[in-house]
Amino acid sequence: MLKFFNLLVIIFIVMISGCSKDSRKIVTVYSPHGKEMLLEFERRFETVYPDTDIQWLDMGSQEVFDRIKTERQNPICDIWWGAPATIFMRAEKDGLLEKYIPQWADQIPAASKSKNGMWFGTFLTPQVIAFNDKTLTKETAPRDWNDLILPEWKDKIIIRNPLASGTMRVIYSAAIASSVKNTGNDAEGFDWLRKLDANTSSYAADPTQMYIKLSGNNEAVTLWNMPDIILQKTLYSYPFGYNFPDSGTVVLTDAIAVIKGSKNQEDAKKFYDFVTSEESLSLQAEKFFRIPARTDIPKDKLPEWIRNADYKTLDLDWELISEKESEWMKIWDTEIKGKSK
Amino acid sequence: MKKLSFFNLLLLSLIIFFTAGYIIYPLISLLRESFISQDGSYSVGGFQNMFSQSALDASFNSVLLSVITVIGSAFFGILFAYIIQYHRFPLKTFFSSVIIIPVATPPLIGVVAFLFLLSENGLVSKLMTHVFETDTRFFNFDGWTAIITVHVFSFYPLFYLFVSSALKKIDANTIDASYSLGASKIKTFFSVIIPQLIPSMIGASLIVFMASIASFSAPFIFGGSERFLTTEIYSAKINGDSAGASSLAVMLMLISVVFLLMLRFYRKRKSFEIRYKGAPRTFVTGHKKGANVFSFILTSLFSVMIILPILTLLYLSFIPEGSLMRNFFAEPLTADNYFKIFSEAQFFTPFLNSLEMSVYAVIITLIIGVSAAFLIIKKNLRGGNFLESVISLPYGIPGTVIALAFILSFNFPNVFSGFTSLVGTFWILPLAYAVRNLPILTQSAISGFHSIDPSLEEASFTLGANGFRTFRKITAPLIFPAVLNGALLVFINSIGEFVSTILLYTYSTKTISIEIYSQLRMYNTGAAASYGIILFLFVMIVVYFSRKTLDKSVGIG
Amino acid sequence: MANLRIENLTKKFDDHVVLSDINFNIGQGEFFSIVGPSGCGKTTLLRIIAGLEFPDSGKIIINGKDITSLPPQKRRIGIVFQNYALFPNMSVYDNIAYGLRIQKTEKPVLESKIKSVLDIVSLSHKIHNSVTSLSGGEQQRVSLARVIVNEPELILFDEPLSNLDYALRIETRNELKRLQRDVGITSVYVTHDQTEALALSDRVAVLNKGVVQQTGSPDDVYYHPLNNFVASFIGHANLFDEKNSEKIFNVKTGQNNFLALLPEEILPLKDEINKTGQITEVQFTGFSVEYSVKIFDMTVKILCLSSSDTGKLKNGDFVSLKIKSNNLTILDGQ
Repeated sequence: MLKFFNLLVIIFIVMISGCSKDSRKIVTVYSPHGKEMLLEFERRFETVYPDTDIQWLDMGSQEVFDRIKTERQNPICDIWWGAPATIFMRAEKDGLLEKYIPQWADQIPAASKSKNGMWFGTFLTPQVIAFNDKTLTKETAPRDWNDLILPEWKDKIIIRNPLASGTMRVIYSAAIASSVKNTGNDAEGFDWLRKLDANTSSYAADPTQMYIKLSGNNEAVTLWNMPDIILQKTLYSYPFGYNFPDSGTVVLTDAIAVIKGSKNQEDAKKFYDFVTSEESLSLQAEKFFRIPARTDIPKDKLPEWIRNADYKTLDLDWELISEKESEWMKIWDTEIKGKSK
Repeated sequence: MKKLSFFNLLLLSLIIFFTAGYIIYPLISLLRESFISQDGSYSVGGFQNMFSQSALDASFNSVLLSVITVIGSAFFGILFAYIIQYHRFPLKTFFSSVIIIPVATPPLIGVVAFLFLLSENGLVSKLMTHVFETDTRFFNFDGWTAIITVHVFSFYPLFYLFVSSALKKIDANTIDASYSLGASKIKTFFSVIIPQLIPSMIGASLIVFMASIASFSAPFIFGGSERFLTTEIYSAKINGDSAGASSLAVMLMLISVVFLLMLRFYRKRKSFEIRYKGAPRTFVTGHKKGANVFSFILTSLFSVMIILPILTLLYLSFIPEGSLMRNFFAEPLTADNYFKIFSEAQFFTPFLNSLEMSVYAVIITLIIGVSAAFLIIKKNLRGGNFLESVISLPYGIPGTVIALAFILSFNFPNVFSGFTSLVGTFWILPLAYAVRNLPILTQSAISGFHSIDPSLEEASFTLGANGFRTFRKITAPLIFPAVLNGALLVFINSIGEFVSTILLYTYSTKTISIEIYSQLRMYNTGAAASYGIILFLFVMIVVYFSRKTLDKSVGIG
Repeated sequence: MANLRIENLTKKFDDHVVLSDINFNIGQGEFFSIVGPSGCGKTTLLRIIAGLEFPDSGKIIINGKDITSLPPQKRRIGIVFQNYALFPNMSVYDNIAYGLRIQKTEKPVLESKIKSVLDIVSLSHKIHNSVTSLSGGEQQRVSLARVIVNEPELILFDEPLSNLDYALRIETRNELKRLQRDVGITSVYVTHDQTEALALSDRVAVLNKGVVQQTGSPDDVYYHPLNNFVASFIGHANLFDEKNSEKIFNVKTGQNNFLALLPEEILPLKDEINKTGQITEVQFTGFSVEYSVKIFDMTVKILCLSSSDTGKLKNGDFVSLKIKSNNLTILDGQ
């Protein structure tokens, strides 16, 4: 018995002594950009600034927002790298962001940055209709939004659980926003979502589950962003293909911002500048399939698939989407999800 | 009530501070939040939320899922308790430890293991493809089937443990008597054995029900478009609807607390017991050889099924990262995944975090739980019953709800958060684990104190030992086995905790379960599996050594 | 009612022989006891008769019918267990009705049978009580009623009195004897208490280490034991080897033989001259006195009536020993 207690004490001492902190300054990053990209830029940044320790937390963009809101009394995150601009708009409204205007601010189109300099776009992310290219081709797969709600796709569609996914929230909200813009009310949009729900076989808990399902034999179609689809296909040999919707697609702006009242703003800004430099952006394009929002990146520094990407951008009221998104998603969650079976 | 010494009063105030600050106050904050509408004013909107169609759907699904889980767990638990108690076959002791492995398996590990075993890209499906050389995927392991499978896998051992301890108390002569009175085996099973098991079955059902309704990992990963209370709370929280999340949490808590009260009521009832001299005969012999052979085969097959998910995890931890999409049977086995984990300091921290937090949770529950049990049982504390009820309350409160209540309560400085905001700090995690597990340790300590014959302590006093010396030399060694068992459970529950961790962690407080989940999210199956195996092995080693310590420590029957 | 024949019965557990070549013939209505120390195999034998265990070889025959491989359900044999084995989840009534219900007895018949059997065991007033509320003696009577009501061909008793305290044990023993005589069912009674076996039985079998040592009437096994084991187990007899029996009693036993003397067959006489034997312990039990006498290299147990002259000896007194009866039992030392 005594031995057991001794063991506990030893474990305890080892743990405590193992906790000695190094003296580097810490920058905490919240980001949905994925482990590979975060690790890469952590290493690169720490080589240039050896006295800084980058600590990142990898989670869904909606989760990032929720956390930053939860932690507002005691901000832990210094820099928020990545999430649809709509979420940044809400964060700006909630007063969670710190003003910071980078040197390249003018190179960003007005729609992709905060009027008050609170956040700026980093990437443009076109949403696509992705499909399993073992069972479908570009021609046989759905080519436009309204194809998705045709009866032939019943139970063929897998969707990443939209509540926790910034990407899906924007796509769904865009459907309502278009309906408001075209018809003056949201009825048509919700109707479309209801029909989509009827065709959806399941909602995946995380992107991986969605990829697995999409590469399986039951489901064959999903809505997702183009860079991720290409990334998965290249890295893990997933059998994925994609179509840009004919009538035009939702193009998300992915943004970056410094968090208000955070502990290490000075180094956070260095990281901000570092990951949005011309060099970093072309590396992100090359290696992680991100399309830069900055318009001043020379074409020859971008990979071929970006130069060749040919899509039409839907004109959407982002202010409206940002404002109404939560409300719409709640209506979807309580009144539409799983109800159309 | 005996007069309390200064030291006892100190203990009492510590307990009151803890229960008031970390159980009652967070629950009040939660209730208050559920009545706050979007614009910040109090309204009954939250209350209406509780009875919206989707909330009712989620409640219905959660209850239905729990009922099915109870039935499934009862079937396997009772079947194997019966087989193992009443048949003779080789390796029986070995099998009886194998089939309770899931009890010590953190729920997330169970979920991940099943995912790798049975999902569309899982081992079984790959094996089928490999063997039959077709491209057909045989499995659609998802939704209800998947959740129920994982639940039954995780919870049937609770039934097994309850029922086998009850079976051990059944006098085997009553079974023989039934046979010789002309009853068949089946008639005997249903009219003699089952009725004597009913009290333990009720207890097991209630506990499995509560565990199932509080379960998050399985519905979260496999739930798809189905609504369950725990996942709905998470969704609502993520959607920024704090009031909605709170009202759902209140709903979940109400259901659980009703079951908790039923459990307490059941514990008060007396079970069937006949008093006679001598111990009852508990072994049963005389089965035909065929029955024993059949039992052996059935138990072996079942044991294989129990370890199969863990073996899958082990296998996946040894195949190269990213080869899951390819034909991985052809890939050479490699320990790269483990090298990666051990070589990078970054990959090692989650493990240390989990360890540290679990140890703190154990220490907190030990201090509060043992003190409370000591005051309630040994000092006949006035209001001891009430204190015991408050302490056992968190047993009926799922981890999701505790996390939510903690966020609402400790997001701003107050007495209980140490005058800072606890949210985002290290301490909120071990505190959440400790609160959730406090009932387990307190109950263990209470049963430990109950089992001590007061004359032993009196003997010590008459031999001239003072109160502290008596506690150290007599009481502590005697309650040690029960308390160690409780502490072990607290440790196991904490080290793989995922449910409340996912709402409370930050970069510096990432735990091993979070690491597994984020590896899984990125589809780094090798790393996820390796972490799973390390966690599993670690828990097994701790269990093994605790058992050894328990075997060595004194026990006076 | 039936007769039971056991032929060449052998049973092993793993390599350990529990019963070896057992043969009995128990007549109709006979009360037959199997007595032996614990671990002698008597309970296993009982369980084999009941069909709860199966023998490795040998036969069990009831009324000429071989039932060796019949399951317990089909044997019509009742068992009364040491710890009663009542179903704790049922009332007295349901316990007794259990077997009748399996035989699909019609309700009026069932009720009248239960009433009459409860009369026999004098428990009519507790018919609807829970069995857990009964005392040990009452539980044992319910257990007996549960068996009798089925009118089995044979009743097996597995040390049924050992859980009762002394007074209750004597009372229940008498009750049992009366009941068995009235009902007249063939009974096999297993016990380690030789007094109980002698008091109850028509015939007694003494079992040791799985082997039957002797079968016979109670006074047969008591006064005419066939070997040392029976002599010392049944009568607590003193065994004198060739040398001691010659020195103490001047009785020649022959080489390697033993003289067996029951404690009450020896007379201690005060003898301060020779000082051969000395009393080392005196136990007064009221009616009788038990002495331990140290003589040469052995200790002899002697039982005397406390009212007689020999019952007044004190600890430390020197005695010489005499044999009371002329009927000497010489055993061959097996």
